Amino acid sequence: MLNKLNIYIFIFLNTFLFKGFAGEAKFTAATSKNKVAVGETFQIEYTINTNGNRFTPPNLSDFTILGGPNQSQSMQFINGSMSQSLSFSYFLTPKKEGTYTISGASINADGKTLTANSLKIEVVKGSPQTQQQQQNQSSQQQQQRNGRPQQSAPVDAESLGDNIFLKVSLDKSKVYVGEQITATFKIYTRVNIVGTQASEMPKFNGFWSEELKQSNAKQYNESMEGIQYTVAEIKKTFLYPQRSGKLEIEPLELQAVVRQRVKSNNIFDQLFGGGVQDVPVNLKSKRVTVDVMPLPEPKPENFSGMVGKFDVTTKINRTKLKANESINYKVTISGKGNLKLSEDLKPQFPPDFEAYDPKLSDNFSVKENGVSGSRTFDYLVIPRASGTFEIPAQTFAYFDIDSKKYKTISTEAYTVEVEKGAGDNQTQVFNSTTEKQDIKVIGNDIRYIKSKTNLKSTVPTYFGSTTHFASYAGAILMFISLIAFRKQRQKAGSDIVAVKRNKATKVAIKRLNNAKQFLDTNDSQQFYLEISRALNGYVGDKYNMSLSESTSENISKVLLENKVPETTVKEYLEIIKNCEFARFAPSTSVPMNEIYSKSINIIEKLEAR
Amino acid sequence: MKKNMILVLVCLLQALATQAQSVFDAGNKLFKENKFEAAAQAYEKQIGTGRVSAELFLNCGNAYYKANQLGKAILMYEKAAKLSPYDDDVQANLTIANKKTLDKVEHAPDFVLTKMWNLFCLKYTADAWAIMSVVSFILSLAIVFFIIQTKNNINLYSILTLVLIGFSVLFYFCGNTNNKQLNGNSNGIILTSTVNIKSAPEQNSKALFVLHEGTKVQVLSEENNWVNIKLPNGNEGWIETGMIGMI
Repeated sequence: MLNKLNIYIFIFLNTFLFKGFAGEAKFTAATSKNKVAVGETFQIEYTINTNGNRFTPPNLSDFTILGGPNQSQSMQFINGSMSQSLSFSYFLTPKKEGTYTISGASINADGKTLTANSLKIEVVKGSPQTQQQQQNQSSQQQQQRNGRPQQSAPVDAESLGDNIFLKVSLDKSKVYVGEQITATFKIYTRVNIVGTQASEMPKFNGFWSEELKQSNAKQYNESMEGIQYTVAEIKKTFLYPQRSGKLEIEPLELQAVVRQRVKSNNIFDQLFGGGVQDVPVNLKSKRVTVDVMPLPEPKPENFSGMVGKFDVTTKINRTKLKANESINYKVTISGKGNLKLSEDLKPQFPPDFEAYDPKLSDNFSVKENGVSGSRTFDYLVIPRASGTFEIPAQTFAYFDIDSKKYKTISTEAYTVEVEKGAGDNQTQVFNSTTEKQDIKVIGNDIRYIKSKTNLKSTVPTYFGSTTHFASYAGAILMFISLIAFRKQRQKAGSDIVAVKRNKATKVAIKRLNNAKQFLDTNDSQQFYLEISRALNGYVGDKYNMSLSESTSENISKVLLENKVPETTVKEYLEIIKNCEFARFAPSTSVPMNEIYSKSINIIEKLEAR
Repeated sequence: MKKNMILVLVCLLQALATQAQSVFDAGNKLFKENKFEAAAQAYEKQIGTGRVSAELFLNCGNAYYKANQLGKAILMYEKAAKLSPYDDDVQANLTIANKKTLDKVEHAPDFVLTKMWNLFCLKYTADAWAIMSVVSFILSLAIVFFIIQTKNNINLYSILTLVLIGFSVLFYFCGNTNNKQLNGNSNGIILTSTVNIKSAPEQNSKALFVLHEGTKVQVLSEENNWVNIKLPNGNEGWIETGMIGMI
C-alpha cells in the first residue's frame, strides 16, 4: 500500500508543462489486478502520454472508491528528447462477486477526445488473507486514532511475552479420519526480530503430514484484541488424521533473536536512537487439539481409508499376445486428499499370469489448498499359458469429503487373448520344472506311426455277461442232475439184492421143510439135495452170489469177509460136505435127523448175524 | 450248434476287420501327407467303431501331437499304453508329450507285481479268460463226479479238483482285470488349455485350482456332465465332461 503510494507520490513532485510532444497521443487504462477478492484493494490508472485536460472519470458504480482520482504528472528527458505523461489513479474495492467492466474514461488532448480502453475485473469470494488485510487496514486507522505508533515499541524484557508469541491456527477443528486440515504456524511480533531458529519442530502424532514448501515466508499485519502485530507464517502443513479421537498437535518451539533498545549513558547512543542489544527469546506455541471423528459406518468392502476426491483409471498396453510375452497394466489413482496413503488395489490377475510387484510412481504437488496429484501402479504381467483370460475391473472406494458419503469407482475390465507362444517347445521348456529341464534332447521327436495292426474289440462280449455266469450255473446244475440220476439208478439196483436177502431165510425154511418131508418118507437122496440147496441158496441170496460162484472156497471166503465166526463156517462146510457124501454114498454114518437139526442150527446162527 | 455260431461270428468279424484295416491305412496315408488333422479324424472314426489296437491309438496320438493338440495326443498315447503297456514306442512318445505339459503332477509308478499281473491279464482277451474259467470249472465238477462214481484214489482226484477250481477263479479275475484295465475310466487327461477345477459340479461354484492341457488325473465319479477328479497330491475337484478325456 505504502509502496504503491510512494511510487506515485514520490516520483516527481514538480510539474512541467510542455507542448509539442512528439508522437501520437495515447490514453490507456491499466489495473494492478485483474482478479480481486471481495474487500481487496486494487488500483486502476489512466495514463496519457501527453498533456491532457478535462478528464472524464470512468463508471465505478460497482466499486467503492477508497481514494482518487489522484492526479500525477511526469516528465523525462532521455538523450535530449522529452517525454511526459499524465495519470489519474483510483484505489478501489469491489462490492460483490462477479465480473465487471470499467469503461467510460475519456480525456481531451490536442483538441481531440481520447477514450481509454475498458478494463475487465473479476471479483471472487474473499480469502482470509484479504480479510486480514482489511482488518489490518481498519486497525491501522484505529491505531492512528489511538495515537499509538505502529512499530518498534520500546519493550522491556519482561513485557516481551506479550509482544512476541507463536500461534498455530487450524482451518478446521472437527474433521473425519483422513480429512485434510491446514495447520499454519505463525509468529506474532511487535518487536524487531533479527532472526529465528526452530529448536523443536512439532510432531504430528496420529497424522500424516505434508508440508507446503514456501519460497519466502508470507508476512502481513494483523490485529489481535486491538493490538497490531506483524505476522509471519513460519510453516504451513497439511495434516491428515490417521485415527479418530482427540488428537493433539505438539507445540512448535522456536528461538527468536530480538533486537532490543537499551538505555545507554553514552550520549552518542542517545543521540542516534540509543544502544541496541540482541536478546534470544525462546518461544513455544500452545498445544492444539483436533477432534477427529471416525468415518461413518458401514464402510465399503474395499475401502482402504482414502478420504478426499479421487478418480481411478486403468490402462493396458495390449490385449492380444502370445504366451510368455508381457503386458503392462497401469492403475492410476488421481485426485485430492491423502493420496500418499493409497495402496495397491491388488488386481486379481488370472492364476496363469505371472504378476510382479507393481512399480509405483507418484506425481504429487503440494499447493496452497492441499495435496493433489496422482499415483500410478505399474504392473508387469506375463501370461504363462494360452487361452482367453479376463483381468477383472478394479474397484476403488473412498470417502467423498464434499458429500460426506462413500463412493466406489469401478474401472474397465479387460479380456486378454493369449495365443500359444511361438516355438512352443522352447517356451514350454522355460516354464517346466528343473527336473524336466534336465532332459534336453535336441531335435527330439515322437516315434513314427505304425503301419500294421491287428484291430480287436476291447469290450468283452462274453466276459461278465449273463451267459458267462449262466455257464457256471449250468455246469453246477448239470452236475447235480447227474448225481441225482446216478443215485436213482443205484437205488433201483440195490433193491433186487435186498429183496433176495430178505427172501433168503424164507427160501431156506421152505427148503428145509421140504427136506423134513423127505426125511419122513425116508427119501435120503431128495433129502440131502434139499438140504444142500437150502444152505447154498441161503448163502447165495444173503451174500449176493450166483450158484456157479458158490464153491466151498468162495463161500468160506465171502462168509469170513462178512465176519462170520470161523467155527460156524467150518460147521457149515461140514454139513455141505456130509450132504455131498451122503448123496453119492448113502451108507454114511451121519444120520439124516442129525443133518437136519444141524442145518436148522447153522441157518439160525447165520440169520442171527 | 454253439460252434457254428462262433464260426459265423468269426467270419463276420474277419469281414469287419478288413474294412477297419482300410480306415487305419487311410489314416496312415493322410499322416504321411502331413494332413495331421484329417489323419486324426480318420483314426478317430476307427476308434469310434470299438475295434481298436495299440498301434491305432499310437498313430492317432502322433497325428494329434503333430496337429499341436497336446491333450488329445497324450490321451491317445495313454490309451495305447493301456492296450499295450510298456510298449517302447508308446512310452517314448508319451514321455515326450508329457514333457510339454505345464502342470507338475507326478503319478506314483505301478508296483512291480501289479505291473506283471496287468501284463499277464492282457495276454488274452477278457472273453478268452472267461471261457478258460468256465472250462476249468466244468472240468473240476467232472472230476468230482468221477470221484463219486468210482470211489477210487479219492485223495489224488480231490487235489486235482481243488486246483481246477482255483484256476477257474484265477481266470475269472484275469478276465476281470483285463476288462477293468481296458474299459474302466479310472484316469483322465485334461483337454482344454486352461481349466478351473471347481469345488462343486456347478458352473458358479468356487474355483479351487487350475489345470492345464495334458495333465493326467484320477477319475472318481461322474455326475450330470461333471467329473470328480483327484490329483496324486490328494486335491479333488470337479471338471466339465467336455474338458476331460477318459483314458
